[in-house]
Amino acid sequence: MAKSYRALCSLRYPDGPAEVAKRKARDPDVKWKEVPEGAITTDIPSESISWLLEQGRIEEIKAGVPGPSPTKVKEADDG
Amino acid sequence: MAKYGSAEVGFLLVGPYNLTNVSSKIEDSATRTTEDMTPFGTSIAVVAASPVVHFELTGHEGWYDDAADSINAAMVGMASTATILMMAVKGNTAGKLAVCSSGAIRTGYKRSFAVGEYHKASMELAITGIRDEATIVYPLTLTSGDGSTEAADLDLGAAGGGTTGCNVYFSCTQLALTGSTNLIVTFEDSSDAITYAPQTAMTALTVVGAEYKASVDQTVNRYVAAKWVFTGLAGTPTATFALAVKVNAPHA
Repeated sequence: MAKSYRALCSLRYPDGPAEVAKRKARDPDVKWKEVPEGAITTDIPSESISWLLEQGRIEEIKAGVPGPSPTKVKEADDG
Repeated sequence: MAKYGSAEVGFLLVGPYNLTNVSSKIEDSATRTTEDMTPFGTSIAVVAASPVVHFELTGHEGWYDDAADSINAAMVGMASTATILMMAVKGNTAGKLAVCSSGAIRTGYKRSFAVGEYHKASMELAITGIRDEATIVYPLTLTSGDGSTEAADLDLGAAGGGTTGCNVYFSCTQLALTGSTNLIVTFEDSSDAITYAPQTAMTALTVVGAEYKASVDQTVNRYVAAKWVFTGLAGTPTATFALAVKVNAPHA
């Protein structure tokens, strides 16, 4: 099962392995995917995961460790 | 090694003012004063160089222009405030040199009028704070709508990145939002030229502007790009801007 990561900033990368291959070949016609900050994603190119983790730009979502609850956020907003 | 000529001066930006087409000469000077340190008991002069280097832009020559985005407005606007300076002397191309500073101060503005000649205007600027030999990431270009340069990123080279942050210089000389809310320009980087992430986002613009952002002790990867988004995209917005970066040297 693919690991899940939370984007700690917006990310932009080729949309799928075939597009990654095109990017590596410097094909100018690459289809890019944009992931907004805070989104959880499973398809970050494998080549990029280590440096994004190391530089604190993504974090791994571990099983049993939920992220911020939308309900709790709403309660906070309600004051 | 290469020689360059006046045709390769890509831009001269003072704050959000593009003074390229009203300028014909400028001198980018660095001077270090000296102090006579000759003590008693010797007849041999001892001169010591000041530890401070002064950067100035002098010898400017150009033409008077009263357009709202030209030299007269720029000099009036700089009467009491420091602004961004960006000067491309080897071409308006990504990867080329941009002499940049966050602290250009107007020290002189002269207008001259002579029979049979166009009116002239010249300025003198002193630099306070940092002056960088930066690299153009995004050349001064008119853009329309959202965009980015990841597909044609700039490779700073294997030793071009760093871990001690960078100085980013940005000047937007023209902006037409056509109903969009604002323009946000982001300096992005990547370690592998596959995935890009923002390094620094410039302040959202609703009118033309210029900005300098510095980071310290932050990793800057070797592949860099610019990305721009018109928030609340409406109509066909346009902007003309340039972005340059100077990656900090490693700590001594």
